[in-house]
Amino acid sequence: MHKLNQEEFAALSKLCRIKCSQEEEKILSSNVSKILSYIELLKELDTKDVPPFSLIKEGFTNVMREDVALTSLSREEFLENVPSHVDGMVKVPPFLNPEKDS
Amino acid sequence: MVNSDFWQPVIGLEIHVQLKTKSKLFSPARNHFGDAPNTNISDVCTGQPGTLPVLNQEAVKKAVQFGCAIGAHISPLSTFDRKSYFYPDSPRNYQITQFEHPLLLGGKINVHIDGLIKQFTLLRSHLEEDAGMIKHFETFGAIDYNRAGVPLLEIVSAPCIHSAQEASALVSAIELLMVYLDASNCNMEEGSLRIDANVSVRLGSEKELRPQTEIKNMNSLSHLECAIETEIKRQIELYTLNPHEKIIPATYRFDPKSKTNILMRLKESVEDYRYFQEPDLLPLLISPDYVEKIQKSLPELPSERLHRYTQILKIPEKTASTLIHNKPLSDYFEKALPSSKNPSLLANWILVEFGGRMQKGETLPESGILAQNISSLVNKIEEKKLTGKLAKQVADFMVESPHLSPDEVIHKNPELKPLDDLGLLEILIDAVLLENPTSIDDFKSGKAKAFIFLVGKVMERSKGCALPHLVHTILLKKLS
Amino acid sequence: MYNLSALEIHSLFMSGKISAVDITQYFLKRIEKYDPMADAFLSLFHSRALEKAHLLDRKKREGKALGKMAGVPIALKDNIHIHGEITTCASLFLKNYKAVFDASVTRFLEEDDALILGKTNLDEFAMGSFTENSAFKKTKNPWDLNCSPGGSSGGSSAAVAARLCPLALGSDTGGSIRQPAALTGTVGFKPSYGRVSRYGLVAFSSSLDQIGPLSTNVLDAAYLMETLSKPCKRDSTHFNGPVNPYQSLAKKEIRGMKVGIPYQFLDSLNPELKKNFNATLEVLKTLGVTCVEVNLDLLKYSVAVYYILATAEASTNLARYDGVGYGHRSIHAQTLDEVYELSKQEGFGPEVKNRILLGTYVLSSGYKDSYYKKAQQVRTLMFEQFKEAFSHCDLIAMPTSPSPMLPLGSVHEPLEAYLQDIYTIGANLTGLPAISIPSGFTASQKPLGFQLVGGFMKDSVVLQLAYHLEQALSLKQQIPPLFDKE
Repeated sequence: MHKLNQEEFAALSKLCRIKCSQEEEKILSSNVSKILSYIELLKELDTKDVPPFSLIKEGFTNVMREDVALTSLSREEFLENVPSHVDGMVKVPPFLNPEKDS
Repeated sequence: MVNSDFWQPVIGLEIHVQLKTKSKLFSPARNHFGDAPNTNISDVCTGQPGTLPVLNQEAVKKAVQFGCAIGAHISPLSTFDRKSYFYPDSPRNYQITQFEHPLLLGGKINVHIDGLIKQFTLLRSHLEEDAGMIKHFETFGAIDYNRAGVPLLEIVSAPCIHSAQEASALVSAIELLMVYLDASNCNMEEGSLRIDANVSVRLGSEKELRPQTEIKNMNSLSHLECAIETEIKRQIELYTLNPHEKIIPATYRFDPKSKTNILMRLKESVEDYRYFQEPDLLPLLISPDYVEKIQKSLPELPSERLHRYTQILKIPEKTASTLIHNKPLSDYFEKALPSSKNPSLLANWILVEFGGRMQKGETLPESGILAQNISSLVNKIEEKKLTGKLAKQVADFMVESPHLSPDEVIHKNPELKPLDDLGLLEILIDAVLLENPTSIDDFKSGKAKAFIFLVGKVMERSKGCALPHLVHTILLKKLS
Repeated sequence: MYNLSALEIHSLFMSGKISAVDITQYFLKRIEKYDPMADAFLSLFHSRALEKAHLLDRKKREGKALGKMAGVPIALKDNIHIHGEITTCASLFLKNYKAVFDASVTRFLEEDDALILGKTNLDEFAMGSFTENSAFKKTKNPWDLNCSPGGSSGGSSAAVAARLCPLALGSDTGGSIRQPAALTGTVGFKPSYGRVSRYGLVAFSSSLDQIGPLSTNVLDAAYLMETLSKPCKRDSTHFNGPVNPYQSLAKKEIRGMKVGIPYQFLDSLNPELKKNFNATLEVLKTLGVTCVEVNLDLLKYSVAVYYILATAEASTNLARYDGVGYGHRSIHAQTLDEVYELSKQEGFGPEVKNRILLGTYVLSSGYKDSYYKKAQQVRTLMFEQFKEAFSHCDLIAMPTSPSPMLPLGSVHEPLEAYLQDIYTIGANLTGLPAISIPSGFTASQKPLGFQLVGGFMKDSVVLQLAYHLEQALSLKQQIPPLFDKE
């Protein structure tokens, strides 16, 4: 049985920002572990040299758009759904990640 | 003592170029800089639920043009991938990029550095979407999605660059190429060209690369050079002082105020982007016909233009290069070229004489002066119908009244009319000879300088209007 | 009127025997009366629907052209956008999210003059098999109010089964149209992947999701497909083939058709369901259809493949619900990290969290090849196996669900719930069209479904055999007794 340990769960939870109570963590961790064990089933299949699934072979081709600019979403309508905004911009608590904002 | 000659810097660049399109990479929202926040947005680029990306064919075209121009391999099948990370400038919390199968592979760029040509190798170039912009305030952050989804071409060079100067020259060459292809504005102030540099140093004899650091998100060539130089120096000092230590892989940003690189994070906490193929987009198929069509319709590239200027038009390399680096001015020169009798002189007049007469912020192509009029002025000099001195005065008038041709300027200002009346010239020359008998004697006794002196006197008396070659002929006739 | 088909209602309207306003009012009243029992609807659009009805009546009076669905009431699963209306996806996260555009299918329905009555309940973000993962209510099976109507399109299946509307839209990612149809005695059709535009369907798993019809009979499903399958330039994965005349294609002769049955795969089916399945095959044979055995042994991996691919895609599709640009933002959030974490914690139910965690895990570094890549490869093998099977037959027959309807709250383990989809998932993984039609009842009056899977883009062939089989079974007038009255 593939059991997620606490550290793995914490790392996973950080990656997808799903934080939960200890109670919830127990259940989720066990659920995920059970399903991971179930999907081990695939290991018995040999997939060497099998290409990943693609619909390209079935006659699908890439669709492209002409380069035409349209106003498709007004600022007013956009802001209606925004939980908090200021001067037309989406407002969030202050943060600084110097990696991105030089 | 740091012996920097012994150390070889190794630099690789990642250059993000915003492509010049009307709309965004995957949505019809306008691709335009400088508008009010969140006015150039769509359901797609703000990541609304239920939206799907549709690829902009113009962005693909511009990327393929670049690929053709650098001799890259244009992948017949490339794919898009989702790159997952949480950040408020990324409305879906994943970016659509090309990770596994990029559109362009390889390619080479020739760059002139100090009179030598150096060839740089590119590894890959791929399409991806730009992120939104964040404004930081003391008590909150504010997000504008106008930039979110703008098409970017990320160009990745091989670690084949060995100095800050080379790095800057390569970026400059790419920038120029983009401008000639009309594929990007490359306006660094507006952030439409941004550079990450990976820097390491090694001893000349070493084959392997030492650990590298990354300096992110620079948007000026001077910052790029300064940041790289600073980092090279830091690394060499560290290795010199502590030969057994290693550079710790890390990400830095350049701070223009202190001119230093500031540590952002160590690379050991490498982010897991969980790339996988974007299921909302089918692979991008590019046919050989399409590539051929693009290849055939490529405009003249800067390297080709340089070759033509120097080899066919015989323009000195420095002048040619200066002209080419200013595409609008070079295009202006092209308009004057068909009627020109001396392209090299024309180039010089466009760059130096007329260029120098422009007010700050004004450019010659936008001045209203017709390129053909400059050509006609320069032809007059070439055909000895106008002295340089007069031509410069004509140029002054042309800058002042851009709608006038040289002939019109001369017609309106008789004092600029060249003195080509042989009778008048003879009278003038006779007068000069009368006043300078010693010079005549000197000339006759073989002193060549005396002749030049006499010509000067004639020119002086004619207020510069006499055409020198006529003066020469008459004077010589009279003296013999 | 409740026992009429969509086509019958349309012709009543077109012949002037009833007005669109009367149709609308009739069904809105019926919903108000009976939905408190079924809890199928999350929202009703009284004024929007009546406004459209008035418009249709006026167009009719003035002799103007009317769309091919004029006068037909329809409900939409609440993960499909209607511009200006709330799309909740049955999630607290989107409780107040107002759609900023019309889904393409919504636009097609409007263009064809259908009457959109309301939005139906579902499992949160379509993740579930019993509609019990809705943040708002538990929908009941009209055949037994203590049972689930299946899921995730349980609101749509219950609404159609209770005849609260003759047609509804569902979305099918792993069986979410066909399984609830089977469990409520209705018809549910999942078109080929790419046959119906996904633009405006809130994504669960982009490479598996398809919108499709739920109806009381096959011809109505074919009728609705003619509207749904119109071309759309906003979905890059749309096939954009011609719109087929599905109704007339459905009526074409079927004699001589071959149906493949993966007997080996059906070994573990419970005896009562097996009996019903075999009895249905016998009826097929009376129609001149031959049955052949086909090998689809790879289907036993389908649940495993599905829970890797669907959760991987979902983990990224749902990353956008972060409390920044729309939807729920926790009032307790003081920092940006808390905006993300608390908003998700408060906004998502346990099953959604479960799947996001799982999807994140299978994509994370070190695991991607053994899970995600492997699953994509198995998917290719499965497609090839189906292709091979289709070289021996025109269609493949299977039960829709391994069990009939189950009491609400009876399935606790996610894995047990996932295995409910064992017969339906294959069609999603391979993109093939598949339908579930009613095939009778268990001894305790629980509806059962029979599934037909067709070759890629052979949607009309699926509808064709389903139509003739339905005629032969004559089960279509089965209406749950509690709702079989005005």
